[in-house]
Amino acid sequence: MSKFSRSCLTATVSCAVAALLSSAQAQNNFLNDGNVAGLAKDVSIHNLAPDTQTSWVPDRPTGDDFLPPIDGSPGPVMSPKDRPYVPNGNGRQPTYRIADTSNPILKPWAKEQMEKANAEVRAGKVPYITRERCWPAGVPGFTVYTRVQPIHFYHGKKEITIINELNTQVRHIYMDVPHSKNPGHSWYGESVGHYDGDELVVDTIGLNDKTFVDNYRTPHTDQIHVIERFKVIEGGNILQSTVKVEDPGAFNMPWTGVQRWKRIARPLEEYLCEESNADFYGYDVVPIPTASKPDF
Amino acid sequence: MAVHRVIAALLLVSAAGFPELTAAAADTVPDFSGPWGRNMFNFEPPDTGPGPIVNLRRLGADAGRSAADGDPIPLVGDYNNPILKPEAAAVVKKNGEYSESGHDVPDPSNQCGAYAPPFLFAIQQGMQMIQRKDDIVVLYTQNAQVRRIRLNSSHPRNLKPTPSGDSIGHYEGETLVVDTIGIKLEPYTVVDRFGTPQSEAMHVVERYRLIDAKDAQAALDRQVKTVGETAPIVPDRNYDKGLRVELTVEDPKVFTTPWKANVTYRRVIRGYNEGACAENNVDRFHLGDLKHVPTANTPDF
Repeated sequence: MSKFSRSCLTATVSCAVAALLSSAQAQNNFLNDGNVAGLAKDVSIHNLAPDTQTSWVPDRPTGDDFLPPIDGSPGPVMSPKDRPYVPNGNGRQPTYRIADTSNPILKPWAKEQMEKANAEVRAGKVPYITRERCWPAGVPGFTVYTRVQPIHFYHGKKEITIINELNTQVRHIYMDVPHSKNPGHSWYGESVGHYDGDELVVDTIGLNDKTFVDNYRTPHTDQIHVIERFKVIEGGNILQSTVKVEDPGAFNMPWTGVQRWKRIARPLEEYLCEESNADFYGYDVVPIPTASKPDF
Repeated sequence: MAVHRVIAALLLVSAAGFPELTAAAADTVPDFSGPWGRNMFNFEPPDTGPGPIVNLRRLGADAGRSAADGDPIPLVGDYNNPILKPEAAAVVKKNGEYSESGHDVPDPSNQCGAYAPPFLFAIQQGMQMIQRKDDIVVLYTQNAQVRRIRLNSSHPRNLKPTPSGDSIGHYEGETLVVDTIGIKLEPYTVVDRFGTPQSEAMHVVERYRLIDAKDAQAALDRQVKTVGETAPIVPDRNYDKGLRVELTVEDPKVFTTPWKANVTYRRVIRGYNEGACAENNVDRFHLGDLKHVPTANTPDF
Protein backbone atom coordinates (compact mmCIF):
# COMPACT_ATOMS: atom_id res chain seq x y z
CA MET A 1 0.00 0.00 0.00
CA SER A 2 1.37 3.37 -0.87
CA LYS A 3 1.99 5.93 1.79
CA PHE A 4 -0.69 8.02 0.18
CA SER A 5 -3.22 5.32 0.70
CA ARG A 6 -2.09 4.68 4.22
CA SER A 7 -2.36 8.30 5.16
CA CYS A 8 -5.68 8.56 3.51
CA LEU A 9 -7.01 5.68 5.51
CA THR A 10 -6.74 7.97 8.43
CA ALA A 11 -8.49 10.94 6.96
CA THR A 12 -10.98 9.57 4.62
CA VAL A 13 -13.02 12.50 3.56
CA SER A 14 -10.19 14.95 3.36
CA CYS A 15 -8.20 12.55 1.32
CA ALA A 16 -11.06 11.72 -0.97
CA VAL A 17 -11.42 15.37 -1.81
CA ALA A 18 -7.71 15.81 -2.09
CA ALA A 19 -7.30 12.82 -4.34
CA LEU A 20 -9.99 13.97 -6.69
CA LEU A 21 -8.39 17.32 -7.11
CA SER A 22 -4.75 16.54 -6.70
CA SER A 23 -3.88 16.24 -10.33
CA ALA A 24 -5.82 19.27 -11.43
CA GLN A 25 -4.81 21.52 -8.60
CA ALA A 26 -1.46 20.24 -7.62
CA GLN A 27 -0.25 23.35 -5.96
CA ASN A 28 -3.11 24.79 -4.13
CA ASN A 29 -6.19 23.98 -2.27
CA PHE A 30 -8.76 21.36 -2.30
CA LEU A 31 -12.11 22.99 -2.48
CA ASN A 32 -13.99 25.05 -4.89
CA ASP A 33 -13.93 28.50 -3.33
CA GLY A 34 -17.53 29.05 -4.29
CA ASN A 35 -18.92 32.27 -5.60
CA VAL A 36 -16.49 34.55 -3.83
CA ALA A 37 -17.47 37.43 -6.05
CA GLY A 38 -21.00 37.17 -4.71
CA LEU A 39 -19.99 37.63 -1.10
CA ALA A 40 -20.93 40.71 0.88
CA LYS A 41 -18.30 43.42 0.64
CA ASP A 42 -18.38 44.60 4.22
CA VAL A 43 -16.34 41.91 5.88
CA SER A 44 -14.30 43.17 8.81
CA ILE A 45 -12.89 41.92 12.08
CA HIS A 46 -16.16 43.04 13.64
CA ASN A 47 -18.15 40.95 11.23
CA LEU A 48 -16.36 37.96 9.77
CA ALA A 49 -19.64 36.55 8.53
CA PRO A 50 -21.51 39.33 6.73
CA ASP A 51 -23.44 36.67 4.81
CA THR A 52 -24.24 33.00 5.26
CA GLN A 53 -21.70 31.97 2.66
CA THR A 54 -18.51 33.47 4.04
CA SER A 55 -16.17 31.03 5.68
CA TRP A 56 -12.43 30.84 6.08
CA VAL A 57 -10.06 28.08 5.02
CA PRO A 58 -6.26 27.89 5.42
CA ASP A 59 -4.66 29.65 2.50
CA ARG A 60 -2.05 27.02 1.70
CA PRO A 61 -1.70 23.24 1.41
CA THR A 62 0.24 23.11 4.67
CA GLY A 63 -2.47 25.04 6.45
CA ASP A 64 -2.34 22.66 9.36
CA ASP A 65 1.12 23.99 10.22
CA PHE A 66 1.66 27.24 12.04
CA LEU A 67 3.66 29.79 10.13
CA PRO A 68 6.63 31.19 12.03
CA PRO A 69 6.44 34.75 13.36
CA ILE A 70 7.68 37.38 10.98
CA ASP A 71 9.93 39.06 13.52
CA GLY A 72 12.12 36.01 14.05
CA SER A 73 11.09 35.56 17.66
CA PRO A 74 10.68 32.05 19.10
CA GLY A 75 8.31 30.14 16.90
CA PRO A 76 6.39 26.90 16.61
CA VAL A 77 7.80 23.45 16.18
CA MET A 78 8.17 22.68 12.50
CA SER A 79 9.70 19.94 10.37
CA PRO A 80 13.46 19.45 10.33
CA LYS A 81 14.99 20.54 7.05
CA ASP A 82 16.04 17.00 6.18
CA ARG A 83 12.52 15.66 6.59
CA PRO A 84 9.98 18.23 5.42
CA TYR A 85 6.31 17.63 5.89
CA VAL A 86 4.56 17.04 2.60
CA PRO A 87 0.77 17.00 2.75
CA ASN A 88 -1.20 14.77 0.51
CA GLY A 89 -3.08 16.00 -2.48
CA ASN A 90 -0.40 18.19 -3.94
CA GLY A 91 1.19 15.85 -6.43
CA ARG A 92 4.16 14.82 -4.31
CA GLN A 93 4.76 11.86 -2.08
CA PRO A 94 3.12 12.81 1.21
CA THR A 95 4.90 12.29 4.50
CA TYR A 96 3.94 12.05 8.11
CA ARG A 97 5.29 14.73 10.31
CA ILE A 98 8.63 14.52 12.06
CA ALA A 99 9.08 17.25 14.64
CA ASP A 100 12.18 19.40 14.80
CA THR A 101 12.95 18.88 18.44
CA SER A 102 15.93 21.20 18.31
CA ASN A 103 13.47 24.05 18.73
CA PRO A 104 14.63 25.85 21.89
CA ILE A 105 11.11 26.43 23.13
CA LEU A 106 10.79 22.82 24.27
CA LYS A 107 11.32 21.76 27.86
CA PRO A 108 13.38 18.57 28.17
CA TRP A 109 10.40 16.35 28.96
CA ALA A 110 8.49 17.64 25.98
CA LYS A 111 11.49 17.16 23.74
CA GLU A 112 12.00 13.62 25.00
CA GLN A 113 8.36 12.72 24.47
CA MET A 114 8.38 14.12 20.96
CA GLU A 115 11.60 12.33 20.02
CA LYS A 116 9.98 9.05 20.97
CA ALA A 117 7.06 9.84 18.73
CA ASN A 118 9.49 10.87 15.98
CA ALA A 119 11.26 7.54 16.27
CA GLU A 120 8.00 5.70 15.86
CA VAL A 121 7.16 7.64 12.73
CA ARG A 122 10.63 7.04 11.33
CA ALA A 123 10.10 3.35 12.00
CA GLY A 124 6.98 3.43 9.87
CA LYS A 125 4.23 3.76 12.44
CA VAL A 126 1.24 5.86 11.59
CA PRO A 127 1.31 8.79 14.00
CA TYR A 128 -1.48 10.10 16.13
CA ILE A 129 -3.20 13.02 14.46
CA THR A 130 -5.90 14.57 16.56
CA ARG A 131 -8.43 15.29 13.85
CA GLU A 132 -8.18 11.80 12.43
CA ARG A 133 -9.07 10.17 15.71
CA CYS A 134 -12.11 12.38 16.33
CA TRP A 135 -10.65 14.10 19.36
CA PRO A 136 -11.16 17.76 20.20
CA ALA A 137 -8.49 20.14 19.02
CA GLY A 138 -8.15 22.37 22.06
CA VAL A 139 -6.43 25.73 21.87
CA PRO A 140 -4.30 26.55 19.99
CA GLY A 141 -4.68 23.21 18.22
CA PHE A 142 -7.98 24.50 16.82
CA THR A 143 -6.00 26.96 14.76
CA VAL A 144 -4.20 24.23 12.83
CA TYR A 145 -6.83 21.50 13.05
CA THR A 146 -8.01 21.64 9.48
CA ARG A 147 -6.44 21.94 6.06
CA VAL A 148 -9.49 21.61 3.90
CA GLN A 149 -12.67 22.35 5.80
CA PRO A 150 -13.35 25.99 6.65
CA ILE A 151 -14.02 27.68 9.94
CA HIS A 152 -17.16 29.76 10.42
CA PHE A 153 -17.69 32.80 12.64
CA TYR A 154 -20.94 33.83 14.31
CA HIS A 155 -20.99 37.25 15.91
CA GLY A 156 -23.33 37.92 18.77
CA LYS A 157 -23.58 40.84 21.12
CA LYS A 158 -21.90 38.99 23.95
CA GLU A 159 -20.21 36.08 22.27
CA ILE A 160 -18.40 35.12 19.13
CA THR A 161 -18.84 31.47 18.23
CA ILE A 162 -16.33 29.81 15.96
CA ILE A 163 -17.18 26.50 14.36
CA ASN A 164 -14.48 24.44 12.74
CA GLU A 165 -16.40 22.47 10.17
CA LEU A 166 -13.98 19.58 10.47
CA ASN A 167 -15.49 17.36 13.14
CA THR A 168 -17.75 20.29 14.09
CA GLN A 169 -15.51 21.71 16.72
CA VAL A 170 -17.06 24.66 18.54
CA ARG A 171 -15.39 27.51 20.40
CA HIS A 172 -17.18 30.14 22.45
CA ILE A 173 -15.48 33.51 22.84
CA TYR A 174 -17.16 35.55 25.57
CA MET A 175 -16.73 39.20 24.75
CA ASP A 176 -15.76 41.99 27.11
CA VAL A 177 -15.86 39.94 30.27
CA PRO A 178 -13.02 38.87 32.56
CA HIS A 179 -12.02 35.28 33.07
CA SER A 180 -13.99 33.54 35.75
CA LYS A 181 -12.26 32.89 39.04
CA ASN A 182 -12.24 29.14 38.66
CA PRO A 183 -12.52 28.24 35.00
CA GLY A 184 -11.49 24.65 35.63
CA HIS A 185 -9.89 22.66 32.84
CA SER A 186 -11.60 21.61 29.66
CA TRP A 187 -10.85 20.82 26.04
CA TYR A 188 -11.42 24.38 24.89
CA GLY A 189 -10.82 26.14 28.16
CA GLU A 190 -12.30 29.55 28.76
CA SER A 191 -11.90 32.14 26.03
CA VAL A 192 -12.64 35.81 26.56
CA GLY A 193 -12.26 38.42 23.87
CA HIS A 194 -12.23 42.08 23.10
CA TYR A 195 -11.50 44.34 20.19
CA ASP A 196 -8.26 46.26 20.12
CA GLY A 197 -8.52 48.61 17.18
CA ASP A 198 -8.75 46.46 14.10
CA GLU A 199 -7.82 43.31 15.96
CA LEU A 200 -9.90 40.77 17.82
CA VAL A 201 -7.94 39.63 20.86
CA VAL A 202 -8.86 36.31 22.41
CA ASP A 203 -7.37 35.14 25.70
CA THR A 204 -7.71 31.50 26.64
CA ILE A 205 -6.91 29.69 29.88
CA GLY A 206 -8.41 26.71 31.69
CA LEU A 207 -7.31 24.16 29.12
CA ASN A 208 -6.75 20.52 29.94
CA ASP A 209 -3.48 18.84 29.00
CA LYS A 210 -5.00 16.22 26.72
CA THR A 211 -4.37 18.00 23.46
CA PHE A 212 -1.33 18.92 21.43
CA VAL A 213 -0.66 22.48 20.38
CA ASP A 214 -0.01 21.43 16.81
CA ASN A 215 0.20 18.46 14.48
CA TYR A 216 3.81 17.76 15.46
CA ARG A 217 2.58 16.24 18.72
CA THR A 218 3.96 19.12 20.75
CA PRO A 219 2.53 18.64 24.24
CA HIS A 220 1.50 21.22 26.78
CA THR A 221 0.35 21.35 30.36
CA ASP A 222 -2.78 22.78 31.91
CA GLN A 223 -0.83 25.95 32.65
CA ILE A 224 -1.03 26.92 29.00
CA HIS A 225 -2.17 30.46 28.22
CA VAL A 226 -2.96 31.41 24.66
CA ILE A 227 -3.49 34.89 23.26
CA GLU A 228 -4.76 35.12 19.72
CA ARG A 229 -4.88 38.34 17.75
CA PHE A 230 -7.14 38.07 14.70
CA LYS A 231 -6.90 40.62 11.94
CA VAL A 232 -8.43 40.98 8.49
CA ILE A 233 -5.85 41.86 5.86
CA GLU A 234 -5.39 42.00 2.11
CA GLY A 235 -8.61 43.80 1.43
CA GLY A 236 -10.75 41.44 3.41
CA ASN A 237 -9.55 38.34 1.60
CA ILE A 238 -7.32 37.01 4.35
CA LEU A 239 -7.90 36.50 8.06
CA GLN A 240 -4.69 36.30 10.03
CA SER A 241 -4.24 35.13 13.58
CA THR A 242 -1.07 35.72 15.53
CA VAL A 243 -1.05 33.18 18.32
CA LYS A 244 1.12 33.68 21.39
CA VAL A 245 1.56 30.63 23.55
CA GLU A 246 2.85 30.60 27.11
CA ASP A 247 3.22 27.48 29.18
CA PRO A 248 5.97 27.39 31.78
CA GLY A 249 5.25 23.70 32.24
CA ALA A 250 6.12 22.75 28.68
CA PHE A 251 7.98 25.63 27.08
CA ASN A 252 11.16 27.47 27.99
CA MET A 253 9.77 30.71 26.65
CA PRO A 254 6.66 32.17 25.10
CA TRP A 255 6.47 31.51 21.39
CA THR A 256 4.35 32.74 18.54
CA GLY A 257 2.75 31.06 15.57
CA VAL A 258 0.75 32.55 12.74
CA GLN A 259 -2.21 31.20 10.81
CA ARG A 260 -3.80 32.61 7.69
CA TRP A 261 -7.19 31.74 6.26
CA LYS A 262 -8.61 32.90 2.95
CA ARG A 263 -12.21 33.91 2.54
CA ILE A 264 -14.34 31.48 0.58
CA ALA A 265 -18.04 31.11 -0.17
CA ARG A 266 -19.24 27.98 1.51
CA PRO A 267 -21.98 27.63 4.12
CA LEU A 268 -21.62 25.37 7.11
CA GLU A 269 -21.93 21.74 6.18
CA GLU A 270 -22.52 18.64 8.20
CA TYR A 271 -19.40 16.75 9.24
CA LEU A 272 -19.35 13.63 11.30
CA CYS A 273 -15.95 12.36 12.34
CA GLU A 274 -17.01 9.08 13.80
CA GLU A 275 -18.97 8.14 10.73
CA SER A 276 -16.10 8.93 8.45
CA ASN A 277 -13.76 6.82 10.44
CA ALA A 278 -16.01 4.08 11.63
CA ASP A 279 -16.38 2.13 8.45
CA PHE A 280 -12.82 1.74 7.44
CA TYR A 281 -10.94 0.36 10.37
CA GLY A 282 -12.88 -2.68 11.33
CA TYR A 283 -13.83 -1.17 14.65
CA ASP A 284 -16.81 -2.82 16.23
CA VAL A 285 -18.60 0.46 16.72
CA VAL A 286 -21.78 -0.08 14.83
CA PRO A 287 -24.31 -1.51 14.66
CA ILE A 288 -24.35 -3.15 18.07
CA PRO A 289 -22.31 -1.84 20.99
CA THR A 290 -21.03 -4.20 23.61
CA ALA A 291 -20.92 -1.90 26.56
CA SER A 292 -21.55 -3.33 29.96
CA LYS A 293 -22.95 -0.12 31.39
CA PRO A 294 -25.62 2.24 30.15
CA ASP A 295 -24.83 5.85 29.42
CA PHE A 296 -27.44 7.18 31.76
CA MET B 1 -16.52 6.85 34.77
CA ALA B 2 -18.10 7.15 31.42
CA VAL B 3 -21.54 7.74 32.84
CA HIS B 4 -20.37 10.65 34.92
CA ARG B 5 -18.54 12.18 32.05
CA VAL B 6 -21.62 12.00 29.94
CA ILE B 7 -23.66 13.63 32.64
CA ALA B 8 -21.01 16.29 33.08
CA ALA B 9 -21.19 16.98 29.41
CA LEU B 10 -24.86 17.62 29.78
CA LEU B 11 -24.47 20.22 32.43
CA LEU B 12 -25.50 22.84 30.08
CA VAL B 13 -25.09 26.13 28.74
CA SER B 14 -23.57 29.46 29.51
CA ALA B 15 -23.55 32.32 31.82
CA ALA B 16 -21.62 34.77 29.83
CA GLY B 17 -24.21 35.64 27.27
CA PHE B 18 -24.76 34.21 23.87
CA PRO B 19 -25.17 35.40 20.36
CA GLU B 20 -28.29 37.35 20.03
CA LEU B 21 -30.01 38.52 16.97
CA THR B 22 -27.52 40.04 14.65
CA ALA B 23 -28.15 43.23 12.82
CA ALA B 24 -29.13 41.17 9.83
CA ALA B 25 -32.17 39.77 11.57
CA ALA B 26 -35.28 41.85 11.55
CA ASP B 27 -36.72 43.14 14.79
CA THR B 28 -39.98 41.49 13.99
CA VAL B 29 -38.80 37.93 14.39
CA PRO B 30 -38.93 36.35 17.82
CA ASP B 31 -35.62 36.30 19.67
CA PHE B 32 -34.73 32.74 20.60
CA SER B 33 -31.07 33.50 21.24
CA GLY B 34 -29.35 32.69 24.49
CA PRO B 35 -28.80 29.49 26.44
CA TRP B 36 -31.72 27.14 26.90
CA GLY B 37 -31.85 24.07 29.09
CA ARG B 38 -34.08 21.29 30.33
CA ASN B 39 -33.36 18.76 33.02
CA MET B 40 -34.54 15.47 31.63
CA PHE B 41 -34.52 13.21 28.61
CA ASN B 42 -37.43 12.20 26.43
CA PHE B 43 -40.29 13.95 24.72
CA GLU B 44 -43.08 15.56 26.66
CA PRO B 45 -46.62 14.52 25.79
CA PRO B 46 -48.51 16.69 23.33
CA ASP B 47 -51.40 18.90 24.35
CA THR B 48 -53.80 16.58 22.56
CA GLY B 49 -53.77 13.64 20.20
CA PRO B 50 -51.35 10.81 19.52
CA GLY B 51 -48.10 11.07 21.42
CA PRO B 52 -44.65 9.55 21.66
CA ILE B 53 -43.52 6.21 22.99
CA VAL B 54 -43.04 6.20 26.76
CA ASN B 55 -41.11 3.87 29.04
CA LEU B 56 -43.17 0.98 30.33
CA ARG B 57 -40.74 0.61 33.18
CA ARG B 58 -41.30 4.16 34.38
CA LEU B 59 -44.68 3.63 35.85
CA GLY B 60 -45.98 3.86 39.36
CA ALA B 61 -43.36 4.25 42.04
CA ASP B 62 -40.55 4.20 39.51
CA ALA B 63 -41.89 7.08 37.49
CA GLY B 64 -39.84 9.87 38.94
CA ARG B 65 -36.66 8.04 39.86
CA SER B 66 -33.59 10.08 39.21
CA ALA B 67 -31.74 9.53 35.99
CA ALA B 68 -28.83 11.64 37.11
CA ASP B 69 -26.39 8.89 37.95
CA GLY B 70 -27.22 6.52 35.21
CA ASP B 71 -30.76 5.56 34.48
CA PRO B 72 -31.36 2.52 36.67
CA ILE B 73 -34.44 1.52 34.80
CA PRO B 74 -34.37 -0.33 31.51
CA LEU B 75 -35.62 1.55 28.50
CA VAL B 76 -38.66 -0.43 27.52
CA GLY B 77 -40.77 1.43 25.04
CA ASP B 78 -44.51 1.00 25.08
CA TYR B 79 -44.85 -1.22 22.02
CA ASN B 80 -48.64 -1.11 22.44
CA ASN B 81 -48.78 2.57 21.55
CA PRO B 82 -51.24 2.72 18.63
CA ILE B 83 -48.99 5.03 16.66
CA LEU B 84 -46.78 2.03 15.87
CA LYS B 85 -47.30 -0.15 12.84
CA PRO B 86 -46.94 -3.84 13.70
CA GLU B 87 -43.42 -4.14 12.33
CA ALA B 88 -42.30 -1.09 14.27
CA ALA B 89 -44.01 -2.36 17.42
CA ALA B 90 -42.04 -5.58 17.10
CA VAL B 91 -38.79 -3.62 16.87
CA VAL B 92 -39.65 -1.55 19.93
CA LYS B 93 -40.54 -4.71 21.85
CA LYS B 94 -37.30 -6.39 20.84
CA ASN B 95 -35.25 -3.35 21.78
CA GLY B 96 -36.98 -3.21 25.14
CA GLU B 97 -36.01 -6.80 25.78
CA TYR B 98 -32.47 -5.99 24.74
CA SER B 99 -32.37 -3.12 27.21
CA GLU B 100 -33.81 -5.28 29.94
CA SER B 101 -31.03 -7.79 29.34
CA GLY B 102 -28.56 -5.11 30.34
CA HIS B 103 -27.54 -3.77 26.94
CA ASP B 104 -27.83 -0.44 25.26
CA VAL B 105 -29.80 -0.08 22.09
CA PRO B 106 -27.57 1.79 19.63
CA ASP B 107 -28.53 5.38 19.16
CA PRO B 108 -26.78 8.50 17.88
CA SER B 109 -25.71 9.37 21.41
CA ASN B 110 -23.98 6.18 22.34
CA GLN B 111 -22.58 5.71 18.84
CA CYS B 112 -21.18 9.23 18.46
CA GLY B 113 -23.43 9.79 15.50
CA ALA B 114 -25.28 12.81 14.24
CA TYR B 115 -28.42 13.76 16.13
CA ALA B 116 -31.27 14.42 13.77
CA PRO B 117 -34.74 15.39 14.81
CA PRO B 118 -36.78 13.98 16.41
CA PHE B 119 -34.14 12.03 18.37
CA LEU B 120 -32.10 15.09 19.25
CA PHE B 121 -35.03 16.46 21.25
CA ALA B 122 -35.19 13.29 23.32
CA ILE B 123 -31.58 13.55 24.41
CA GLN B 124 -30.22 17.09 24.17
CA GLN B 125 -30.72 19.16 27.29
CA GLY B 126 -28.89 22.33 26.43
CA MET B 127 -28.95 24.34 23.27
CA GLN B 128 -28.28 27.74 21.83
CA MET B 129 -29.73 29.18 18.66
CA ILE B 130 -27.83 31.65 16.51
CA GLN B 131 -30.41 33.47 14.43
CA ARG B 132 -29.28 35.19 11.29
CA LYS B 133 -31.14 36.64 8.36
CA ASP B 134 -30.82 33.64 6.11
CA ASP B 135 -30.08 30.79 8.44
CA ILE B 136 -30.15 29.59 12.00
CA VAL B 137 -27.33 27.58 13.51
CA VAL B 138 -28.23 25.56 16.57
CA LEU B 139 -25.52 24.43 18.97
CA TYR B 140 -26.33 21.53 21.26
CA THR B 141 -24.30 20.73 24.33
CA GLN B 142 -24.05 16.98 24.13
CA ASN B 143 -21.24 15.93 21.83
CA ALA B 144 -20.99 19.47 20.50
CA GLN B 145 -23.64 18.84 17.89
CA VAL B 146 -24.26 21.59 15.39
CA ARG B 147 -27.20 21.97 13.08
CA ARG B 148 -27.91 24.47 10.32
CA ILE B 149 -31.39 25.50 9.28
CA ARG B 150 -31.75 27.43 6.05
CA LEU B 151 -34.41 30.10 6.25
CA ASN B 152 -36.98 30.81 3.57
CA SER B 153 -35.54 28.09 1.42
CA SER B 154 -36.81 24.84 -0.01
CA HIS B 155 -35.63 21.27 0.14
CA PRO B 156 -33.50 20.28 -2.83
CA ARG B 157 -35.42 18.36 -5.45
CA ASN B 158 -32.92 15.52 -5.51
CA LEU B 159 -32.04 15.53 -1.85
CA LYS B 160 -29.27 13.19 -0.84
CA PRO B 161 -29.98 11.92 2.67
CA THR B 162 -27.50 12.86 5.37
CA PRO B 163 -27.35 11.82 9.02
CA SER B 164 -28.74 15.17 10.17
CA GLY B 165 -31.23 15.56 7.36
CA ASP B 166 -32.09 18.72 5.49
CA SER B 167 -33.72 21.42 7.60
CA ILE B 168 -35.42 24.54 6.33
CA GLY B 169 -37.29 27.13 8.33
CA HIS B 170 -39.43 30.20 8.23
CA TYR B 171 -41.20 32.47 10.68
CA GLU B 172 -44.95 32.52 11.03
CA GLY B 173 -45.54 35.53 13.23
CA GLU B 174 -44.02 34.71 16.60
CA THR B 175 -43.38 31.08 15.67
CA LEU B 176 -40.35 29.58 13.97
CA VAL B 177 -41.31 26.59 11.83
CA VAL B 178 -38.59 24.11 10.88
CA ASP B 179 -39.17 21.32 8.40
CA THR B 180 -36.75 18.40 8.14
CA ILE B 181 -36.59 15.52 5.67
CA GLY B 182 -33.78 13.54 4.10
CA ILE B 183 -32.49 11.87 7.24
CA LYS B 184 -30.08 9.15 6.27
CA LEU B 185 -30.66 5.85 7.98
CA GLU B 186 -27.57 4.84 9.88
CA PRO B 187 -27.44 1.57 11.81
CA TYR B 188 -28.10 3.60 14.93
CA THR B 189 -30.81 5.95 13.64
CA VAL B 190 -33.76 5.86 16.01
CA VAL B 191 -36.63 8.11 16.99
CA ASP B 192 -36.10 7.95 20.72
CA ARG B 193 -34.16 6.28 23.50
CA PHE B 194 -36.40 3.23 23.24
CA GLY B 195 -35.11 2.31 19.82
CA THR B 196 -38.28 3.23 17.95
CA PRO B 197 -37.29 2.82 14.31
CA GLN B 198 -37.74 5.28 11.51
CA SER B 199 -37.54 5.13 7.75
CA GLU B 200 -36.19 7.36 5.04
CA ALA B 201 -39.69 8.84 4.84
CA MET B 202 -39.27 10.53 8.24
CA HIS B 203 -40.62 14.07 8.22
CA VAL B 204 -40.38 16.30 11.26
CA VAL B 205 -41.87 19.73 11.76
CA GLU B 206 -40.68 21.80 14.72
CA ARG B 207 -42.60 24.85 15.87
CA TYR B 208 -40.71 27.13 18.27
CA ARG B 209 -42.37 29.82 20.33
CA LEU B 210 -41.68 31.70 23.52
CA ILE B 211 -43.96 30.94 26.45
CA ASP B 212 -44.24 32.22 29.97
CA ALA B 213 -41.38 31.05 32.16
CA LYS B 214 -43.84 29.82 34.78
CA ASP B 215 -45.59 27.66 32.23
CA ALA B 216 -42.25 26.32 31.08
CA GLN B 217 -41.25 25.45 34.62
CA ALA B 218 -44.56 23.72 35.19
CA ALA B 219 -44.03 21.61 32.08
CA LEU B 220 -40.54 20.67 33.21
CA ASP B 221 -41.82 19.76 36.66
CA ARG B 222 -44.49 17.52 35.18
CA GLN B 223 -41.96 15.82 32.96
CA VAL B 224 -39.51 15.22 35.79
CA LYS B 225 -42.25 13.42 37.69
CA THR B 226 -42.71 11.17 34.70
CA VAL B 227 -39.19 10.44 33.47
CA GLY B 228 -36.91 11.46 36.33
CA GLU B 229 -34.40 14.27 36.44
CA THR B 230 -30.97 14.02 34.91
CA ALA B 231 -29.04 17.06 36.04
CA PRO B 232 -30.64 20.13 37.58
CA ILE B 233 -30.61 23.31 35.57
CA VAL B 234 -30.01 26.75 36.99
CA PRO B 235 -32.76 28.88 35.49
CA ASP B 236 -32.28 32.57 34.96
CA ARG B 237 -34.98 33.87 37.26
CA ASN B 238 -34.75 37.31 35.70
CA TYR B 239 -35.80 35.97 32.33
CA ASP B 240 -39.54 35.65 32.11
CA LYS B 241 -39.77 33.55 28.98
CA GLY B 242 -39.42 29.87 28.31
CA LEU B 243 -39.16 28.10 24.97
CA ARG B 244 -41.64 25.55 23.70
CA VAL B 245 -40.96 23.34 20.71
CA GLU B 246 -43.92 21.43 19.35
CA LEU B 247 -42.86 18.49 17.24
CA THR B 248 -44.97 16.84 14.59
CA VAL B 249 -43.54 13.52 13.47
CA GLU B 250 -44.65 11.73 10.35
CA ASP B 251 -43.27 8.51 8.96
CA PRO B 252 -45.94 6.49 7.18
CA LYS B 253 -43.69 3.46 6.90
CA VAL B 254 -43.37 3.25 10.68
CA PHE B 255 -46.32 5.08 12.22
CA THR B 256 -50.02 4.67 11.73
CA THR B 257 -50.56 8.37 12.20
CA PRO B 258 -48.65 11.60 12.58
CA TRP B 259 -47.98 12.23 16.25
CA LYS B 260 -46.88 15.17 18.31
CA ALA B 261 -44.65 15.88 21.25
CA ASN B 262 -43.58 18.93 23.20
CA VAL B 263 -40.10 19.91 24.29
CA THR B 264 -39.76 22.71 26.81
CA TYR B 265 -36.74 24.77 27.85
CA ARG B 266 -35.95 27.47 30.34
CA ARG B 267 -33.34 30.16 30.02
CA VAL B 268 -30.38 28.91 32.01
CA ILE B 269 -27.32 30.57 33.43
CA ARG B 270 -24.89 27.72 33.82
CA GLY B 271 -21.68 27.52 31.88
CA TYR B 272 -21.52 25.78 28.55
CA ASN B 273 -19.81 22.51 29.21
CA GLU B 274 -18.20 20.51 26.51
CA GLY B 275 -19.10 17.09 25.32
CA ALA B 276 -16.47 15.11 23.51
CA CYS B 277 -18.15 11.95 22.38
CA ALA B 278 -14.95 10.10 21.76
CA GLU B 279 -13.91 10.77 25.32
CA ASN B 280 -17.18 9.76 26.87
CA ASN B 281 -17.37 6.60 24.92
CA VAL B 282 -13.78 5.55 25.00
CA ASP B 283 -14.51 2.47 27.04
CA ARG B 284 -17.81 1.66 25.56
CA PHE B 285 -16.67 0.31 22.27
CA HIS B 286 -13.60 -1.51 23.42
CA LEU B 287 -11.51 0.39 20.97
CA GLY B 288 -8.50 0.04 23.16
CA ASP B 289 -6.02 2.77 22.53
CA LEU B 290 -7.77 5.34 20.40
CA LYS B 291 -4.45 6.64 19.28
CA HIS B 292 -3.76 3.35 17.62
CA VAL B 293 -4.45 3.50 13.97
CA PRO B 294 -5.30 0.07 12.66
CA THR B 295 -4.07 -1.28 9.40
CA ALA B 296 -6.61 -1.74 6.69
CA ASN B 297 -6.27 -4.50 4.15
CA THR B 298 -7.63 -2.46 1.34
CA PRO B 299 -7.40 1.21 0.54
CA ASP B 300 -10.39 3.45 0.91
CA PHE B 301 -10.50 4.36 -2.73
